[in-house]
Amino acid sequence: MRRLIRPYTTAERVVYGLIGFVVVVGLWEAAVQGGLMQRSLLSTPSRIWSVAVTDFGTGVIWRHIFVSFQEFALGFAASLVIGIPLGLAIGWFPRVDHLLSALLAGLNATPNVALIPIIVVIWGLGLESKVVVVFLSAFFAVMVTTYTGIRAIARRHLDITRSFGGSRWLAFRTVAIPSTVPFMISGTRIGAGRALVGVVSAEILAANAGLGFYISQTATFLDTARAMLGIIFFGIIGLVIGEVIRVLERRFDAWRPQIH
Amino acid sequence: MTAATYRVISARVRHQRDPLHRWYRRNEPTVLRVAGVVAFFVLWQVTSDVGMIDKFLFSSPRDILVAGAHEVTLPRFWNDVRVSGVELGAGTLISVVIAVPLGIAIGWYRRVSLAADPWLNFTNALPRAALVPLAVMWAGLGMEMKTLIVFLGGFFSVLLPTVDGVRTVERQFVDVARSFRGSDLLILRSIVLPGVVPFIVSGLRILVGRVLAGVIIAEFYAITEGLGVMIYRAANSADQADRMFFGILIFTLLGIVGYEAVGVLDRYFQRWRPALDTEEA
Amino acid sequence: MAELALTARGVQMEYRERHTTDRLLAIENVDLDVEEGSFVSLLGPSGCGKSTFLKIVNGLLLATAGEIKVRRAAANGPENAMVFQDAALFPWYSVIDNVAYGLICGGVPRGEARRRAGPYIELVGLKGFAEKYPYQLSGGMQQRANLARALAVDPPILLMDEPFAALDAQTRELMQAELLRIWNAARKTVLFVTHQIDEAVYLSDRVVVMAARPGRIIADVRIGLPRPRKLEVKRTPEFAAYEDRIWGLIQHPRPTSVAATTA
Repeated sequence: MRRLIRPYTTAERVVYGLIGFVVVVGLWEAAVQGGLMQRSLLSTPSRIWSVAVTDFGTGVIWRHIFVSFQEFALGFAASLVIGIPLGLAIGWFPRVDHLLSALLAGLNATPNVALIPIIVVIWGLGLESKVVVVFLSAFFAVMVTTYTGIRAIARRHLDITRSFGGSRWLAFRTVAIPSTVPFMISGTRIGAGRALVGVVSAEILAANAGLGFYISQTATFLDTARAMLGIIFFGIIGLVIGEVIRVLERRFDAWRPQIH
Repeated sequence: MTAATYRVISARVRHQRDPLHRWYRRNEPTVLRVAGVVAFFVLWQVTSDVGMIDKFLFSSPRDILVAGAHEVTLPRFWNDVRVSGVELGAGTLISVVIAVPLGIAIGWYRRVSLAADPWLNFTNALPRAALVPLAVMWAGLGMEMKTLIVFLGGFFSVLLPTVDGVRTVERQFVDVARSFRGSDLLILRSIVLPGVVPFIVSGLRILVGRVLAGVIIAEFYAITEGLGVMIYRAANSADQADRMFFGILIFTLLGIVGYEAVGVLDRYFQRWRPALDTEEA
Repeated sequence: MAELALTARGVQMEYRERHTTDRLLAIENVDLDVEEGSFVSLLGPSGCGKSTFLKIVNGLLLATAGEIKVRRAAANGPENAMVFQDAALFPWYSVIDNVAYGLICGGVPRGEARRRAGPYIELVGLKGFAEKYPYQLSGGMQQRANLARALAVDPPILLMDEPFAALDAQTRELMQAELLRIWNAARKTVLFVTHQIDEAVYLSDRVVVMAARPGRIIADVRIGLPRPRKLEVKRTPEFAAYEDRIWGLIQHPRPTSVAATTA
């Protein structure tokens, strides 16, 4: 067994990754077929694949995916529209920071899930309540990362603007915003993950449509294969969103402040 | 020669302010912080009293405290605390105890960690809440299921950072140990283990949020006993918003305490931090 | 008889701890005259206040006592511009946008600023790199752009805060020679901060030697080496003599400050 003294090559990652994937899937199928593991526990890859073909084909699952997507998109967009400017304001104006930070820290420590029942009471079982949950889930992460970005601005960069006689507003436009962009992108990635968690939590608990509802519904009827399908789909979505935003993150990595 | 004009750069003028002014300038951050929090609660109380916000939905600070004072006298409340406490405590403890050694083992063996990579990334991207219905299928509606959800939340929060930490071990340190013919066990003990600690601590920070969310969502889903159930029932009853907020407040306090505890651990291990950090918020 | 570009009298910089009565004198007392068109170095170890003094002239810091008179620029432009040590270029701007930035801060519209910045990019030897980004430039080239930005606002006085400190030894020497070439073309008054003796002696007409704790001027050495100076002059005995003399002054600093004026 090798140790970690060489960096990984891409070829190694791909090869071993594939091996790992295939091995686990194979063992899984074999374990159930051979009677080592109950079918009702996690179903089997083959069965999951067949229900996937069925449900995607008949379009049953598409409706749920679309509902979840709507909730995600609206709530997440709202969290960006409110979270980023708020993060910028709190980071840039120390007075605003002092005023609000203790409160926001308290809000952050509250698990969002706990607010779902009251949100449902107020907004019902439909789209609105889910959008609120998604917004709350993502908002804080987006705001805090943006705030961290403003705080991380290299003092030297601000000095440059001041040295040449530029106004504070100019410094904000030409230094603060570009310097914070990498952090805003990170915030988007983390926020998207939280938003996804919000979608799932809200739909599992109180919904009549959506992929989370699909999972809880099929699980209630002991249809493990379909429940697993929904779970796997969420996992894949989470991976894809994360990777796509990561690409964007790397593109702007050079804009991060190198020193303070 | 032209008669040049000059600009004068003067020194700073120090105004003699009165003591109150000076004190305020020095302590402004704290004053604003306190003012912000106080203003929030006062505003809440006032808008509730004058009827601007719905008392049934939003309650008010005073009502919440009254309800809370009443709750802590009831044995039912303490039973709920015990149930949720056991679920949280047992689930978290077991998850950390299993995840750390497992993470170190996976990270240590190169091929294993590369092979496990897609699965680790997948389970990390998957919202754990999606597993709740499955967990109910496996373990029923009792404390075992809820402990399982807590366990799953904590386990994956710590596993990935641990694997990452082992993989990120500073090559230079390993090279030094090798040049002195250090055994693998020695490398493990003296370089990897201290190096992975900051990663574990950052994983713990994520764990706090995840286990609290886990216990709540599990209790919401299978409404039997526990503080989460208290919140759920209160939310769905008329005129019990104060009890609901009291329950939420308990979890908020748990969250604050949890993050503080991790902060203490973080500062304690600060001196072991390697020069290059690759952690993520 | 030369005109004075800058006159400092009694400049003091005192730091006071918040809740105690401890005072830190970063600069005890500076009396300094700088002639028009001359190249003056401020040389000293860390903590002697040389960078602090530069920042006071630039306006980034306010002195706690004393007065500085600077010659007004033509057409109400800035009287001085600073060349910083590191992290001096914005990674999100191209070279020309970075060089134009000083002008933009002064209120010049972006298009006009870019137009005016162009010739300075050529002057510092970065022709053809206008649209490149800082990460594509070496350390030496980045400092050239840094210099171009300061020159572009056409200040009478150029302030340079250890601009070559982050460069490797060879690049540093090349940049010193380049700086003299550019200075000859632009003929500004330069106030140059460094802690390297050979750099100060090579570049300057005057080396103002400072000491720390408290920050003060301990000597004012005129460098009589003829101009233009090639890098080879560093190997001459005259050069070494200046270095020795200054080294001696630094090793045994006078406890009181000295006025580096022309009076």
